[in-house]
Amino acid sequence: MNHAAIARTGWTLAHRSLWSGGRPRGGVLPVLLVLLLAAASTLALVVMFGSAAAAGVPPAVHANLLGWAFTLAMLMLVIGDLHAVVSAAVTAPDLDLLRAAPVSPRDILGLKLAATLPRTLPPVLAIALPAVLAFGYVNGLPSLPVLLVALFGLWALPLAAGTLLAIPLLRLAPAAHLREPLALLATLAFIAGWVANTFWVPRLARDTLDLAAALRALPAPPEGSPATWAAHAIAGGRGAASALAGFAGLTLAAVVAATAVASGLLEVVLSRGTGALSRLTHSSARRAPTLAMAFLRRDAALAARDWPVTLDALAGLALWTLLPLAILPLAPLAPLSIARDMVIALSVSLGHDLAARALPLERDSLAWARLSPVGGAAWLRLRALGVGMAALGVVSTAVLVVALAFRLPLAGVADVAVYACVAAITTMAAGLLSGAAFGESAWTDPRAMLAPGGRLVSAVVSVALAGAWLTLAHRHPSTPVPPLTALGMLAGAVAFASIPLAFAARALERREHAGR
Amino acid sequence: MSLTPPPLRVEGLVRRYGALEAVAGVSLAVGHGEIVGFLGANGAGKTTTLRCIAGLLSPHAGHIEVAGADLAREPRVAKARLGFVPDRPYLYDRLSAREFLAFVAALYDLPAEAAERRAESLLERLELAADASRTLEGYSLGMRQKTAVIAALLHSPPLLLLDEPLNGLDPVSTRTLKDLLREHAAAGGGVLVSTHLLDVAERLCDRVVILRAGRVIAQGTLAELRGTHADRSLEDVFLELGRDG
Repeated sequence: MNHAAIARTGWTLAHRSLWSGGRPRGGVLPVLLVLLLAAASTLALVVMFGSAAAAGVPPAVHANLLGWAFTLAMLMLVIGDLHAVVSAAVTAPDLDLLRAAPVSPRDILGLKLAATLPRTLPPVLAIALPAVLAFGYVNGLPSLPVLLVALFGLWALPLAAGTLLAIPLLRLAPAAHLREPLALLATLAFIAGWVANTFWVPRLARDTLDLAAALRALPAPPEGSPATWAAHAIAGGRGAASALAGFAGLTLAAVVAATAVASGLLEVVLSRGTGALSRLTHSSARRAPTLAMAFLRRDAALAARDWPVTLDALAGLALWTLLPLAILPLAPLAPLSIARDMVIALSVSLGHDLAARALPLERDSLAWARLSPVGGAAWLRLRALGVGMAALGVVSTAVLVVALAFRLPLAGVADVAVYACVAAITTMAAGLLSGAAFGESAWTDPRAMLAPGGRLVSAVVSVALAGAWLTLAHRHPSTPVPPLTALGMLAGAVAFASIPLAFAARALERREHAGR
Repeated sequence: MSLTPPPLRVEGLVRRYGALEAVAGVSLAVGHGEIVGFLGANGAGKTTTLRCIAGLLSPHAGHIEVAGADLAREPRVAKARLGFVPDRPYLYDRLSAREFLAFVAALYDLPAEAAERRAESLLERLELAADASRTLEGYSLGMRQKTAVIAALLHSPPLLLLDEPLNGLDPVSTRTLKDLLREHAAAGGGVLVSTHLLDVAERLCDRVVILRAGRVIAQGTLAELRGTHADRSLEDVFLELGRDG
């Protein structure tokens, strides 16, 4: 294998994904986002380490904090890298070309793992590096070799672990079936970290005066964890050299083991085939009495069988609904107000996680919207009916749960239901437009069904709309909305929603299908 | 002479991708009971032309009429009168073939009983009936192609468009598909089929249209294309036209 030529091709492809034809390409946005996240993380962590130092927290406790940050990052990375390995090493579109060429399985594995760099490196650059820089800013930076060994290990160890875990999993199930559940698992791991952070940080902020005590009470990270060794190595002091040696040795051993074991098994796994297996269905295949029923029946089948997408959406819905509870310790609110906040927060997810994915979920088959005599506008209405029915179930459940949890009177329940409906109608209409405009038909990750820019737009628009409803809700935090005002709000929401829906129908009518 | 409009009439079709003119003024027609072969080298503009006729791409100029319905003015009527088999079928992987065909029947507003009978009959003929309750995600290329053919034939459209329909088909299925196309033509329908297999076009098609660089460079029956050299094959004609370019 001509390694130089392969590296040149890789560089050309990477370069063209960022800049081609004299203008920036879609690949630029994720790079900018990583840089932005890295800058924000560095700033936040510098403030945190600085506050801790000012509060008299000793350096050993700083090392504990660093150890926990590395441990959390590593756990998230192992699961994320497991998905990256399955996606890049086993289901890559050029895999057949590589297998047909005189290239050894070890080299194929190396090439595919190198191809995972854009996905596996950002967490190291956006989380681990800022943590080290912030720690170093307050406590002094480690030497460059120590820094490089630690960062390389934080990237390579999870990737090696992900590779070693992926192969036995792939012997159990085809890659096409594993890829989406693993993406979901990776997302859930990320969300778990995010939730922990969301609930933890406000409580720390509340206890600012006791920050030193709170940090001192923080237990030490697990001694046997390589993340802890990396933190000790960076923190310096007694035992730093042995921690660094242990970390470097483990990294080397994991990389060697992953290369030796995985490359041997890769050919076995690939020879079994990586495509999906058919599943026997038992539902009725009779023609539905109406077109709407046919759409609903199809949507129900897709939602049940594309279960990673459904579970991911449900996780998003639950988490957004719970989000307002995170601020309760900082700003105690009236029960009616917090109930409203929860259902309005839910609408962000209804727009961004549910409605925005409705059209991309159809993948290439969305071409039927133009090919069949149904027409794009009717197709959109029928798709909106499906997600609307699903949203109705979600909103009804949410209203019922918050009403019971906060023991709201009947007028309060009606008030919360009105806010839930108006917020859901507007964010879902905007979500459908995002899906029509930015949907990616070739998605493999349930959280990447829109183009990167589209995901950002969808999230920002959903949050902005929910923010507008929150502002309105907080003008009268404890008074239920009068019936006439409620009707006006509903009419306003429907009128507003008709605008993005009209644009979405237009986008669907005009969407071209040139083939791949 | 038939008074009903022909299944397909295309005049002056133009489609560009940026500066590239992929289809540059194509005019062609498919008559009742006619199977027309659509030939051309890679990148000649066959797929773009077929997708414009199917309504998947918007032409920049020209006129498309499907069984008397103007595609630009009456898109729904025109689309109801055609069936399209793309080179990569549009299938819902998480539906079974039967569920997918029931959905397609609903899109074309077919009566339930008739649609089910027609789907079962086609599934039997293309030897898919035994697998038709399994989800499409595990189907082979040929099985996916057969499912797409059935979906296109389900509403017995006056015009059938097929883009490389023989990809991945085994010899038995290839024969069955050719029989189905002949039956469709015998019932008065029109077929426009793009293929690289010149021997198939020679045996299956009544007429061929040859495209190069987005333009029709020759069309007619095989005898017309052979001219005075009756012993020439379609391959000879095709290669000769290629050289002339």
